[in-house]
Amino acid sequence: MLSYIIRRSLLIIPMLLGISLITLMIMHLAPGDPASLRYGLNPEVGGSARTQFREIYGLDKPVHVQYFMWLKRMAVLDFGNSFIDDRPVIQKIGERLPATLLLSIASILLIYSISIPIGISSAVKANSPYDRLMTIVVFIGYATPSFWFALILIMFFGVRLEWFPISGMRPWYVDYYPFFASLKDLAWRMVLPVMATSLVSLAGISRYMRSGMLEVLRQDYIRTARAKGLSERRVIYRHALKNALLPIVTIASMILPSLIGGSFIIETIFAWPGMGRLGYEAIMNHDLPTVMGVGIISVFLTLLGLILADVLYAVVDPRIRYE
Amino acid sequence: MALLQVKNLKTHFFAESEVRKAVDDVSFVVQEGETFGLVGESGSGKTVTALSILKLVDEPGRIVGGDIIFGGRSLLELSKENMRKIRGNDISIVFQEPLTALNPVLSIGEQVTEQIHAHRDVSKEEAKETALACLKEVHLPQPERVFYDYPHRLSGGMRQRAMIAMALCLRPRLLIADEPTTALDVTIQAEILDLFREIKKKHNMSILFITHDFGIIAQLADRVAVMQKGRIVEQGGVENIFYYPKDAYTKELLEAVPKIPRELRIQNDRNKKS
Amino acid sequence: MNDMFKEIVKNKQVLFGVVVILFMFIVALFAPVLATHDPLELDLSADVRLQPPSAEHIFGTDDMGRDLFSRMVYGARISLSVGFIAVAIMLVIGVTLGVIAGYYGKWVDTLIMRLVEIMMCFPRFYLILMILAFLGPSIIYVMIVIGLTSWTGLTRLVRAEFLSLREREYAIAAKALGASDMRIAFRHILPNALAPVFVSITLSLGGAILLESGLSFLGLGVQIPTPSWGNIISTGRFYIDSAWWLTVIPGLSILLTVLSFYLVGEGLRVILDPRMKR
Repeated sequence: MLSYIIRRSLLIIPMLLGISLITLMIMHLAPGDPASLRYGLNPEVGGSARTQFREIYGLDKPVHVQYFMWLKRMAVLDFGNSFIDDRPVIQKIGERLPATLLLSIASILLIYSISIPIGISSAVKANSPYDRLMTIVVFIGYATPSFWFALILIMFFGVRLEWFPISGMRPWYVDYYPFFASLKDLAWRMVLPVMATSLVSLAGISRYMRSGMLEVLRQDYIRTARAKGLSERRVIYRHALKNALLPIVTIASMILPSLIGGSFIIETIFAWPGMGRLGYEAIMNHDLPTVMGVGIISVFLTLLGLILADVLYAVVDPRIRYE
Repeated sequence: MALLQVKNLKTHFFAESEVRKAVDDVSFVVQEGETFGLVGESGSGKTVTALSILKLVDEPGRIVGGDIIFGGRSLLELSKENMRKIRGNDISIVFQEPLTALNPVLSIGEQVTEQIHAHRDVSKEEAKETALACLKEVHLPQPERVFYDYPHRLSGGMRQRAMIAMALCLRPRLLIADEPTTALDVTIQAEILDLFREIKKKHNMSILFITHDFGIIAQLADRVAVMQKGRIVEQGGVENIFYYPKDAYTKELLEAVPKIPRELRIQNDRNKKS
Repeated sequence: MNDMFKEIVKNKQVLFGVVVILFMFIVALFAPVLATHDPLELDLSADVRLQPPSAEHIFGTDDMGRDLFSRMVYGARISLSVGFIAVAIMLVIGVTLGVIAGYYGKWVDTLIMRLVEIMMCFPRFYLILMILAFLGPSIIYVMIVIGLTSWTGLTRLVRAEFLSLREREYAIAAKALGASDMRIAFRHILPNALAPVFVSITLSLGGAILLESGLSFLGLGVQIPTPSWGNIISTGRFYIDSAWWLTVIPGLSILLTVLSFYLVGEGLRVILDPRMKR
């Protein structure tokens, strides 16, 4: 199993090289020409920031020099200092990351705990009216713009019903709360953002679970299980489910990029102090070092998710575990 | 005494616009303690017949006519729960391909014991005890190791032995063997056939043996039915059919069996391998 | 083809999708005729701003007193054209790379597939945000950037189709007759891979419209005062407790349009894939 994990991890290296190349290309998109100022979102910051950025990242040096400089920066996670408050970018990200991870992990849990049962029940009752209804529901979820869904949640649960707070993560007065009360406040504030973040992936995962389960139910060993006189419950929840869940584990790594991608909008709407909001604000203020830093850290997180999924897969699948 | 009576069984598959009559008016009887052979080419409806007996035909297939009487009761009239109690307990089946027939993510031990738990009210330890005895009975080396192992770690022959152990474990009255040797190497085939012969002698259980190989039937079965395109074209005692086939199709099948006695053939194969 | 038409009519989901998409097309095409007001005309008087739907303004008015219905009608133009141009770019890149990888195989294939894997590691939305941050917000850039970042799935799909089709008789026969590589790839093999590509186009159209609305919502896409469904919602956001129509109406339009593309795509997948038939 260890050799399997090491082998998979080594595959990350060429990917890292490719990623560094693409990000370097993106950086070159920042025009050094002051004439491009008029495109800037914030013209006062735009011009000087860009020239400063080119200096810091050595974008005027020969390409191969630039590339090695960039690789070195990536390796030590040094993205320079923020244009806004001159603090190291990595430090700013470090402060914001826990909030994003909290939201992402809670979303993954919610996504899994809803979409797996939907997928299983749809597959078991394939082509029934229930299955058809679920298909439509799932497609509607998939087609809903998440930022709009977030606004509708705010409009309905926040403004009309006043059930949940609609912005922020940790107001100042929570510091005076006892531990459990502050925890409860946090959970309360997470409800709407987590719902909004989860909607899109919910659809994908439940469809994936459904088709995986359908595939498994066609296998010979399911027929064997039935021929042994096992109860239908056991056939589905032990024999079929265990096989169908394996690929779902790897899918966690695939929803991670979409969760992180979604966090830029959702965190902005809910004023959630995470990395996504940091990235969005950096973009709006033309804080280029922070923009690059958030981008690279997002990619690193995705890669980490990939490796984690591989490890998890090795743990749950005996065919790999004993390799 | 008749243990199993299949009467005018019809199992049809309903595709988009056409109906495929996989089993069409098939009747035969399996007596207590006898080995009954069902021979035919692939696609002749043998496997569907076997699955019909267990009521495990998948959509879009359906049993549309006839009756299946087992131990005096009509299986077609049984409730789902009562049918479940019969499967794996009174009637069990060994499939052709042990690699796909065993669940890849469950240990052999779990797959054997779960069947015991499904039909007997026993403790975990008792179930394990019984399972180990079954694994030993089919001559699996190191049953304790196999118990905790996963299917992909066993050889093809060992996997099929594990399948047979599962099928035998609860001493069913009828054992259905659906081409149990086809997917295996020739030498392993011979070993598995020996195992079946041993089972037959030791337990005196009824066996419905399905194969395309008349040679195997000649060694193992008491009586035989020949199937073609969903129908039985001829049935009777093995010797009778073997030496005096009446139907043209039966003759064709018999032509395919090499004239050399089987034991010699196996000997030859072994020599070739080494 | 006739059979396919019948299947589409029979499948209610696809029929629904096709009708909605056609409707949106007509709206976009005849926007100047359908619009009841000038979508850009401001009127800041208190009795015109933020008015709920009425006979005069059937979808109400926004914070600048502009007629929402007219803005929605013109917004349909933006949404659909962004969708189609972005998908056209995706199609060119995706199909070309997929054909090259699938037809030539070996190291060319490995290289292209690696590139696909790398692209898939980027959170796509942030990649787009980053590029737009450097280039500046513009509807043209939005189209190009969406196209440039969405081809990976299509490349994988075309490549897979090619790998399975390459060995078939007609490709071998064409090769034996001395046809050139590119001719075999584009004339003989590609037409056979069309069905899944078509499905992918339909799904991507929905995805591109969704993305554009998100970017415009964040202020990185279509710039106010030009109307787009996404930037109408970004205005509505500030009046969420008083002017629901500014949020609900454009959101539902996006949802309905994107859903229609998805339903058509999914329906076509079932119709075109013989294995899916029951």
